[in-house]
Amino acid sequence: MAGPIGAGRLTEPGAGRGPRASTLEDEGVQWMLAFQAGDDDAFTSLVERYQGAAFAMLRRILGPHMAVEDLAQEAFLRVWRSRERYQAQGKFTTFLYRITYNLALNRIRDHKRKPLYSMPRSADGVEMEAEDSVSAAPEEEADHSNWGVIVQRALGELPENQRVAMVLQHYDGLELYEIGEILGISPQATKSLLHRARTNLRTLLSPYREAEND
Amino acid sequence: MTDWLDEILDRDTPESVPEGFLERVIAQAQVEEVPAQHQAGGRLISFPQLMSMTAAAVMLLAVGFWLGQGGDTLHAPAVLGNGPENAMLDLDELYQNREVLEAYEVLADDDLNSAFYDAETGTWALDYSIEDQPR
Repeated sequence: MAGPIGAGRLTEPGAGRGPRASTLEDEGVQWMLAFQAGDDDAFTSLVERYQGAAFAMLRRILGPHMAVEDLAQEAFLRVWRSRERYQAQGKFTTFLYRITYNLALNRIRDHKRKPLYSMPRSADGVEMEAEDSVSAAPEEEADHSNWGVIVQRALGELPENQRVAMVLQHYDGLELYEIGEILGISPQATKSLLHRARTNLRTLLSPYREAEND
Repeated sequence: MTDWLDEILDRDTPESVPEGFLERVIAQAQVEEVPAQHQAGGRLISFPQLMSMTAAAVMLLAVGFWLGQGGDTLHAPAVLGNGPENAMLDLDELYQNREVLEAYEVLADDDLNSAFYDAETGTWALDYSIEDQPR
């Protein structure tokens, strides 16, 4: 559902002109501008539409065992608080993902000394021993019911910036320049980062692919 | 043509959103909209404001302590009398004089009083002797 475009700020910095037509066609941008104009229901629409993407992004960046709901909630609350100063400079997802990525980064830094993909704890609080995530019996794990776990484990093996770039490109469909805006790097650096990420993932996942094909 | 990697990455199913997440976000956003002073138990002063006021109070105390410990004197012109020339005195000198006077009071004892009276007596005797001189 496309909301009305409110009388919000539509200018891009330094351009002296309005935003690109493609920006205004973005559903999220329309809702955000309507929210800026006073339509609180538009904010509800934003949360309904993008909550899944925010959760998925946080889960893939932070791993399967870290709580992410508080970060997802904070991401949308920051969208709420930015109502007055929001400017339609690109897709709404780029705006939301930048907020979400910064929150994830803060969580990573807070847990710098702990493994990001920490093992779950038993009932008495003892952390279970980590298995060798790459070579542990791929032929036993490579069926479709386990692929989600396998993929998340492989993503967890990547350096943080490669993981984020890969998640944003593959799962969220962002362009190189949008990923670069979020990570604070050039499109060329983003391209290089993605190349290394895909090379590493192929190395990590190929044993499981071969086991499945056997 | 899709890379086999993309096909495998797609096998990771999306994270399910916990039930009630939207309602919790909306509720928290609406709580933030209420002015803090109208909230039950809410603070009238935000933490950053409190820190700023505390820092300012500490600075004032530090300056006051420094002055009390003999920091730079306060200089202010004091105009005395109605004469053609205005006498400008340091407040500092006035305070010092006052301290001396108070010190006399503090140190006043019988010996000092005796010396004072002797001085008065001597003066009186001198005046008397002058008055007895034949004119």
